[in-house]
Amino acid sequence: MQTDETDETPIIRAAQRGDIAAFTQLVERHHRSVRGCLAVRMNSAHDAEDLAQEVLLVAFKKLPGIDATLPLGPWLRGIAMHLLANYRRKFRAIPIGLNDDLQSLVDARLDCVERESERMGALRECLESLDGPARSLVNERYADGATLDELAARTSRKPSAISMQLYRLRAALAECIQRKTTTA
Amino acid sequence: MTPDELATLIARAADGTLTPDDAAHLAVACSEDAAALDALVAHVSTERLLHATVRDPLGRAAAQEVALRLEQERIAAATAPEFVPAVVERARRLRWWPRLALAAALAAFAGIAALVFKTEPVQPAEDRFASDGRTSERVATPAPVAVLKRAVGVVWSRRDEAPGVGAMLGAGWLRFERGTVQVEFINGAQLFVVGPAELRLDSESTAFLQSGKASAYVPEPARGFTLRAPGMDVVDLGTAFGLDVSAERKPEVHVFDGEVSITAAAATPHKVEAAKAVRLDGSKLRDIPVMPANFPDGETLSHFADTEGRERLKAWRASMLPLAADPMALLCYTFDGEREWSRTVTNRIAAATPETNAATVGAGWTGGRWPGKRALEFRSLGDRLRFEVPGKHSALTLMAWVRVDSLPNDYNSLLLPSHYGPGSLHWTLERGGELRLTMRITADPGNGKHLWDGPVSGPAVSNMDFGRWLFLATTYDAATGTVTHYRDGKQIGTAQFRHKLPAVLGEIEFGNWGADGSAADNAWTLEQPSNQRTRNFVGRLDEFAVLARVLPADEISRHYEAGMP
Repeated sequence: MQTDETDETPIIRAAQRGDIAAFTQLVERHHRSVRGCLAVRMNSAHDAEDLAQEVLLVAFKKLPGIDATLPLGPWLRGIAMHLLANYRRKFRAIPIGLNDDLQSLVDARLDCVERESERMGALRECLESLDGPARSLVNERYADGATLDELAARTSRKPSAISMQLYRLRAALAECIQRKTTTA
Repeated sequence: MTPDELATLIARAADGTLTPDDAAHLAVACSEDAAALDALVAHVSTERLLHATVRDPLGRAAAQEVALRLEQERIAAATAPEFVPAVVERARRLRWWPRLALAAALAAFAGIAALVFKTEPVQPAEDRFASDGRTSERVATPAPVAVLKRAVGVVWSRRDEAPGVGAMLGAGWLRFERGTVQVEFINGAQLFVVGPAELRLDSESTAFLQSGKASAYVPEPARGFTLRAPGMDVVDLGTAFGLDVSAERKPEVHVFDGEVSITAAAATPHKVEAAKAVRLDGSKLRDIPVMPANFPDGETLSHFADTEGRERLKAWRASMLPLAADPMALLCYTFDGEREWSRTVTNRIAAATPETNAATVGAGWTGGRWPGKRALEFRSLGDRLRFEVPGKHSALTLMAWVRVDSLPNDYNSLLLPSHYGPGSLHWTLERGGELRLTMRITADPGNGKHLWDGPVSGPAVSNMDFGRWLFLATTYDAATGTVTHYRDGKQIGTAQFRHKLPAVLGEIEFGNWGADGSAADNAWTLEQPSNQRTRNFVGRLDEFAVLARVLPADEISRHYEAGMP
């Protein structure tokens, strides 16, 4: 059956013929959503990035067999979820607080999260509106990977105070993401 | 549970510092109260998105890595039929993870226990060494504005200014006599420049081409990238263009795609569309025929890079033969020629016995210095290369070609022993980037300062070196106690150990620390605070050698030259 072509169809066709430059274009378009979908569901950002790469490499190998007129996003998400399920089966992650019940509660909720890529985009915008001190806390914690102890030592405060400061920051950011993704 | 208590537990869950007791309380609260679970999930997911978003806001680095891996696989498939695709390698590597996850769980639990039970922290001996006037902050470096992605056939104008491929570049000049470089600006713009050229990087979105020929590829997010030439500014409006600044001709701008805005002298900006070109004649812009083929592009560069890489690899293989035949060589791991499924790395010296082969644990195969050359990648907490070097040695040279990707720990293992006795060595990179050697002087089971000699250290790695190949070497001469460190063939530090003991390596690991505290000699390691107990190396290892003689500086420099990527 002939279906309508999307604007991506020619790129998919080129990639199906083994054109890496075309596939790179597809990677650039879809990487963020694959990455977001895994990042939300996995404990380690590093592991999520590794698995996201795996998804795209698997996709490249499977690409010749797909219908180039269908949208690529849902197909990639399917591969991501499939590899994630395999990953979870094989490598049991360390549960939050070493408590399996708590982890299961959280995982079940996270499985319902959608539009992660949009949420990442919103978060990026929300981060831009942060004031100086909050901004530098974010950089030190998430870009430089500083531990709570290190952050506490730098500001002569207790780690518990830093933990609560991060809590308030995350709460504000979560609210900002919510606002942006519902009004968008 | 009060709202404040709940907030504290949620904060800890998101921080990764939740204790098992906390977790039990939080699990009950969340199963009884949907709002509590909602809040927990919001915090956990925001925390995870923050990690992903802040590290790589547009996902560009990650996307490029995928493209690069595809390209590497294609090159590897074309040049080495036995090369295993990274997908298979990775799948194999993943099989090690359950053990690593267990190790990490124990480490995490130890960390939690330390939080709960911590009393007065005991400052470890090695840390006291570090605090005697040495920096623990990384040496201040300029803010990076770009990365040197490739340099093919390049002859730098001043060898001492030559940046390494993969290095981050701060604002400043790149001058070279011939060859082609690819510079990737932080904002995403790609610049290919053919020498002879003088290019000054000014910021993450501007550069100045004093002379040479350059083409710029500017993706949408990098729009506004500005390339200046004597007498004019070329502002990109989302496009690809070439700029030719030769001594004998007037500057020319060729637009291949999209549109650019050119400001010459005091004139108003002039827009030039795709498939058009202009020449700056005095203060006027004159139309000329567009000549895209005259400018460098990624495809041509890839072709040259492959050819050059294969030549370099051949020359390096030849250069390794004398080292392997050196009667004083103890170990030489080249990571070249191992079967793709192999977890054993072969000692390539002439007199090698199978007992001196190394076992990889966790670390997986990855791309090395050249296309078709492999290296070991160390990423996870448990990755390591284990081997044994018997005997006591009155002279020693340690050499490694490494790519440091980060220095996450106070001490990052190059070599750390599993057992301790007089003469045991610690060869590490400090968090601040110092290359460091310390030596155990007694069999005493404790960890006081008087039990160690050294450290001798030298500045080896700055932030700007992350991601590029570096040659690190250290020599030790027990006759005088002299330790000398080298980076890229140049001496970076030297000093004496006071005790002049012969060096002992024994059971030892590259990239990790196998001393698990189970033996009397290494029980002290359990008392180390968690930030010093974890010492995994993060990066790649492409060559490693140990000799039982002190290589003189000129030999180390020659070895570096032969192995330069």
